[in-house]
Amino acid sequence: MTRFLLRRLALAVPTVFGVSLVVFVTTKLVPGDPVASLLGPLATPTARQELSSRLGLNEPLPAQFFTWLWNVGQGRFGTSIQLQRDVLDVVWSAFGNTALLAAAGALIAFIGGVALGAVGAFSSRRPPRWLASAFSFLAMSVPQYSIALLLVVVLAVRYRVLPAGGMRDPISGGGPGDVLLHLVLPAVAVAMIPMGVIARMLSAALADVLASDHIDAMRARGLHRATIARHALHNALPSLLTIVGLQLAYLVGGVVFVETIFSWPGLGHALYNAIAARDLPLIQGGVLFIAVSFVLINLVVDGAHALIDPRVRR
Amino acid sequence: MSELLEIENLTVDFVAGQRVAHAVRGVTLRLGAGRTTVVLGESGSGKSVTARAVMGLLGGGARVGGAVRLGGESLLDLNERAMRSRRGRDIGLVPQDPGGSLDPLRKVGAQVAEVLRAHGVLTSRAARRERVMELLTLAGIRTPERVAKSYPHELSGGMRQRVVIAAAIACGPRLLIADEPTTALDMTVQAQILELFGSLQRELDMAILLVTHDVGVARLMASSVVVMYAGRVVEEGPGDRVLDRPAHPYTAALLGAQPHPGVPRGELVGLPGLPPSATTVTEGRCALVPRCAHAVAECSTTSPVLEPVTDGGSVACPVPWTADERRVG
Amino acid sequence: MAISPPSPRSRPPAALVAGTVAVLALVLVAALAPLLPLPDPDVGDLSHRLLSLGSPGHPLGTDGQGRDVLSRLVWGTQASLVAGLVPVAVAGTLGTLLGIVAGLGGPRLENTVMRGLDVIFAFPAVLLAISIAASLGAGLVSMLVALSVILVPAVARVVVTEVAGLRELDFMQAARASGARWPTIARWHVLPNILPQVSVYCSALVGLCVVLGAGLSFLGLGVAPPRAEWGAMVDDLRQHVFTAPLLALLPAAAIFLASVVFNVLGEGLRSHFDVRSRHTA
Repeated sequence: MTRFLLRRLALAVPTVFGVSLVVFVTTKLVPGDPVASLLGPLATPTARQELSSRLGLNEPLPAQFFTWLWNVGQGRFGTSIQLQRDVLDVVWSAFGNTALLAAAGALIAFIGGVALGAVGAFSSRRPPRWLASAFSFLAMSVPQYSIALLLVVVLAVRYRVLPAGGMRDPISGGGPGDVLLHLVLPAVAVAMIPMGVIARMLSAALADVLASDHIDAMRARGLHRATIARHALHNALPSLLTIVGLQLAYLVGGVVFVETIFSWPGLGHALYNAIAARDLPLIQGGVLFIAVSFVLINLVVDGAHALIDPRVRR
Repeated sequence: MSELLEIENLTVDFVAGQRVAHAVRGVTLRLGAGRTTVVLGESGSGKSVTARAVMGLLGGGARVGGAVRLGGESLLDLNERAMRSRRGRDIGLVPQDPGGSLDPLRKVGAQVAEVLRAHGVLTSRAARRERVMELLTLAGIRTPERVAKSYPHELSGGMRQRVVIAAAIACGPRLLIADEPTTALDMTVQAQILELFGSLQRELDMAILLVTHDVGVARLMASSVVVMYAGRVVEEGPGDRVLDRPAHPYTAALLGAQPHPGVPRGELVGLPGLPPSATTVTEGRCALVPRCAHAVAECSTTSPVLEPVTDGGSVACPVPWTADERRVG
Repeated sequence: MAISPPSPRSRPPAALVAGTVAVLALVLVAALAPLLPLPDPDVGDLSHRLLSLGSPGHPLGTDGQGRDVLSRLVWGTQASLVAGLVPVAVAGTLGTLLGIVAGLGGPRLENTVMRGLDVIFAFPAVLLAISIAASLGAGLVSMLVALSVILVPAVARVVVTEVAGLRELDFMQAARASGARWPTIARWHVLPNILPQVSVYCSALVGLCVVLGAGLSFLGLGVAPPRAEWGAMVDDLRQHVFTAPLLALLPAAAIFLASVVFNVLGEGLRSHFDVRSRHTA
């Protein structure tokens, strides 16, 4: 088990390197001159030259990359051009909010997806199976911004049950309960597609398991239906984990839309603003942060996989 | 006279939309307590479906007719709940693929113990543990402690089959159904497993219904044999009689028996053509007609019924091989 | 022993029929937009701003600049179809090429390509699309490029898996033993065998692509503002969500509908060709 994890960890190192290379190259493609956007059109050539060399922009690209990587490795992501604040600072505080939203969304997607998938696979009657399958199909097809808008219109504008935007009430400046209230709508919006996909994939995985010989053998041994359902879920867990890992990535992507509609002060929002302002260090820092956290999440998924399935632990 | 297992004119149809497949077309079979019957036939003959019908494991698409009685109790009339409590407790099943019938994610000891728990045989965990060790030993495993703690993929095919057998006999069933129990194993292990069936039968006094396509297996096991073709029983009787002196042309072909050269019956080494599909209508004639070299006019106009054979058992053929003809061969 | 009831006659599943009809309807609407008796979608009358549903001359009302919403929805179908189909076609072609080269080029090449794909998969696809589109500057072309780029790895991975499965088969070994060069093998032995699976997989991506394309436009990274596009309409109309709440829901519903339609078609194709979808994008 330890060897398995160490090998996985070793495999993650080149991935992280590749990820940082991609981040670096992508942001280098951004049109426009960061120096010009920083100093404005009236800057003198000397001032431009000075800032350029201070930012290291005169070095050849590979040198720039390794300097950047060296700094990033030590937690020095640089200063946001647009906000004039330490990038790590900005990214870290926004990341917390995004993580909260993503975690809430993931929880809804997971619970809803597993429930729908289980009904779709286990129910012995047709109508519930059909309903679960149709609902997950629709959920899988609904854009985050469409459902976000629908929720705003119905629950925030029409019936005023829940707040339509922000993270805290600006007047009461509320505590955890207030944040929770603001969290409900964006979390539901962000959860819909992953929930639908999880439900459908789990349902298919469960159908496979239920048709397998060892489940048939359990029936022949006279085990209770509930016991068999439990073992079937256990056997579908590896597939479920893989789906959840992939869907988590999709969910975090969708957060950008939802954060925009609900003005949620998260990383997607910050990134979107940074892109508009061509704030290179912030874009690099933010994207790298998210990508590396996904490499880590995948490691956790692999580890969990090995915990569940004795056959992959070698 | 009431036997342990009585199958009376069993029919099984699978229905999918407009199409109906007749998998079993009227099978009658009796098995006494503590005895062994081998059901012999090619794949598609309905032998496995018959076995699963006894277990009540055919699923929603199946239409089952006739009667199945175990110790006088009609199994087909039981609801799912009652049938579940019979499975594993009164009837054990040893399926074909020893690797596939164990949960790959759990240790095998727990999977045997689970059967005891499901039927409320032993309520204390420690007692179940102890019983699992006994069962594994009974199934011929010499290191039960180590095997119980293994995952299926860590065991050999023969070892896994022994675990599956331990799970099947856990509650001391009166009837053990073995569906091609040795097909996936290599020859030496096959013999060991069949031997194990014999010793378990003597020790636990259970009846065995063994389904196979393998004449060799039938020879080793049979106290009596039932031969099935196209969903029907074509011949049945004591093992030595059916396997040494077959009365039905199909049985003879299955055994690869050479007909006597002096008897004008044509070549029977293998049958030309394929068995009829389950959707073919074979009522009112013998299902073997297109492939049988001895068919007479009567074969195409009436369904043959089982008639007693002079030296034991019965055969469904209007022109069976007489004892004389068989003895010559 | 497996016991299966007789398989029903293979006629196209209802999802395939319904999906095909609905997609054709979408294409028809997009193609007929210039011929329909609709007001100019890009020109508005500021004296008729935010008219409600059912107003005379404007059955679905008008937006904040007095433009006819029905007309914009109809014209927006074009952008939506382009956003859904073009990237899938581009990525389908490139991904298939990349996958075949990696799958036939020996274990080292395959390993390198797969590792490279892992790097791309470490990014949430939506985020990568946003960064690429932003890097290239707003516009239809950069949106299409961004969507194509994020789909290529997904397609390539499916192709590599399929090719790996084929490699071991006898006819491939025979082709190689007879000295056929790899382009020949790719063209005559690999492509015909993986095309059904890959096409079905790609068809399942169209719905996703419609959603993401409109999403990029929603963020201002897609189709440029005056052109009618559903995602941009959502962004535009959501400013007025308190005065005209139903209006903003119309383009949002249109995107949902298009997404459902393509997903139904994809599902229909999948069940008709009985391709097991183990791949999740």
